[in-house]
Amino acid sequence: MNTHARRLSLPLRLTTIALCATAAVGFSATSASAATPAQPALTAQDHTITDVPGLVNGRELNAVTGLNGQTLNAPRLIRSESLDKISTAGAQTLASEYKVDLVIDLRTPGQVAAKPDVPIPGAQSVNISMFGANGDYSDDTAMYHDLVDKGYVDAATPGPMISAYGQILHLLATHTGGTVLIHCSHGMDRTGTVVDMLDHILGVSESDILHDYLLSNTQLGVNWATPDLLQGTFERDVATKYSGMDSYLSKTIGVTSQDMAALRSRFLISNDASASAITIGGVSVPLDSAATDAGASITLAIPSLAPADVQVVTGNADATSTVTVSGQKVDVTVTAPDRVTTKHYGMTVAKPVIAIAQSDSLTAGASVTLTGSGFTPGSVYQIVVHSTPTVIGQATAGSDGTITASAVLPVDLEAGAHTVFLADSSGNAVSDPLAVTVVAAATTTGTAATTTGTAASATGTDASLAGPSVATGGTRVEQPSAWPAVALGALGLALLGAVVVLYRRTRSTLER
Amino acid sequence: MTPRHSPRSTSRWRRLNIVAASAVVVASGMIIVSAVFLAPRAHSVDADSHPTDLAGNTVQLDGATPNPSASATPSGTGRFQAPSVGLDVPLGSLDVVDNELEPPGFTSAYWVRNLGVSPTDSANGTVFVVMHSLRNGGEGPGNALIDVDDGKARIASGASIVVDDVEYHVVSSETVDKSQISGDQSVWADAPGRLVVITCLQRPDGAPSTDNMVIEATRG
Repeated sequence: MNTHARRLSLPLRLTTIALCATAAVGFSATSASAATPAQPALTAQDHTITDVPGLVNGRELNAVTGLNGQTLNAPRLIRSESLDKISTAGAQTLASEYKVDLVIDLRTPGQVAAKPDVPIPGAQSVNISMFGANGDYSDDTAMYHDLVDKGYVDAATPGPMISAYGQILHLLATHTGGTVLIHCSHGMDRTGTVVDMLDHILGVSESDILHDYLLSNTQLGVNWATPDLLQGTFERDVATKYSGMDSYLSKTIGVTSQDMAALRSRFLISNDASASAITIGGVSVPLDSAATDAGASITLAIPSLAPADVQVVTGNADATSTVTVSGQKVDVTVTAPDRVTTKHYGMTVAKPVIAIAQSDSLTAGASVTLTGSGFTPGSVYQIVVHSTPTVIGQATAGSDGTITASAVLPVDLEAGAHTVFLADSSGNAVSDPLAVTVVAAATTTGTAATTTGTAASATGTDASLAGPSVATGGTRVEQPSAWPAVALGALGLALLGAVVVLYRRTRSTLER
Repeated sequence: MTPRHSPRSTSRWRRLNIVAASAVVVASGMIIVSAVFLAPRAHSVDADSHPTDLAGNTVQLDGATPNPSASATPSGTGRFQAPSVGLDVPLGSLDVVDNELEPPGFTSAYWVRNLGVSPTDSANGTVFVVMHSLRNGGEGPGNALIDVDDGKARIASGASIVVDDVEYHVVSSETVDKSQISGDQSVWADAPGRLVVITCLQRPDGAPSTDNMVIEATRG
């Protein structure tokens, strides 16, 4: 059995490393017989820290699989021995490379005073002594019993251990900045039970927890850490005295469900690739159907779709989304924070359909009533008739997105096939075009009928005629003046009168 | 009797008679020529072959004589009034014949009986009204509606037009080439409450008109 006395000095420990190495070489055949080697080999999931001068037994959380298949967010927590031996450069590396901004020192005040930490630039340091004032044990098993509940009487008097766990886990749950470095003296026992609890909350398997626990042996070159201490003593007490780890955490220590969730959120890399909301042009997409292969169909009054029209809210804030728009098809891919898990949402965006109540066979100049739904509430649209775009009216969408509007077809709308649609203020179609057939205007029909009745020849003359020609011009006639004729007549009369007078006078003279 | 005067008096008497007779013949000739010259003028007014305009000027059509089958009624039951331009004339009616509308008179407006609707049915379709305008100083009813110098309508948008007591307001006006108007669907469409007034747009140079002025108005 390990005794605490064997851990006391570095020279002794180095000697032990050498001995163990020799033993490993010399007795590898016998060592391998154990189901769990005392010094497990490092795996790809283990992230030991070897580039910080003076840092002993330093490693990140192992990047194993936890709850719901999510991987532990390894760099967010570093565990190590006390920081009394790290160099200034090492402290700087922890600050700048490992982003350590919080140190939780689990040692007793005496242990801290004996080997004070070299401060990490910019990092906060919190001392939470798990053992209270006295943390020196000559028996490891006794120490692991105390690691469960030292000083515990009841909920009102929990003792230093239970109180410390509560504080530590709350601190881990609520720290939202950089990396937390947690340590005790060797980074093995107190740190080991804290990480055991955290791993349990994160859903790490018993074998992975044990592997990580035993890595202290590997990194320190010792065999102090044993399954018997962690599982056979600590966890067994938890199971027998406190109805298991879940009850121990929640009831005895009092970890709130919020803190549980926060711990999982912070120390697990989410594989949540779900979208909590997708809107296109302000219209909410039914996510359930969008997630199916067929995708969702929505109706939206928008001229043309652009990725900017699609708003995605991811279930996890660290998830990312990409939007692909191809014509009326929208594809959203959400990538979970783990950068591996993805989820696809497919949407087909249809323009609202409009209808003309009267019929689809209309006459130029006719009044029509347009109905439709799926428009943006409160928006004002232009009613447009093609082929030559002509705005014939306006429609305002009601609060339910429906429209009912009247318009008069242009009087010069030629007979034949046309389309009617609603457009935005720029004239871009936002509705499905409605095909309409315009028959010859009533006027033309009437004229033709009249003409047929009165003059049959007119019917066949020119089918393209819409009406008659109009001859409404005239001119004032410049009449020759009457005065010359009048003067001539007057002169004649005067001459006649003169003749009569002269004739009578001459005749009377002659007869005298 | 006085023999000694008789040779001399006989001779002078004969000369006097010859002069007098000649003068009477000349004078009579002048009177007859004058009468002959003046006579057709009075005759034409009576027969209406040279009609008059609103100012009493003698006027004539620029073009062929209207087909009698148009059976126009020069003065109908109502009036055509456009107060803003001082126009108030009788409202007659006529038919389209041989695809032509040609008002028979120069002092009235005419609604078209076989196009659109009658003024009494104005709510249900377009009432078409045509009238003459005149050049060379003539004053047809249509002259009140046109601005010859600027080549546009003289009556403004929004102005009132009353056709047989039905009030319309001008919404637009356009000039349409006379050769194109028969094919212009926008002119001849039948729409409820619509009025189309057509006359000729005369030209500043006094030459015969080549464009129609189409004035569109709606009821109410």
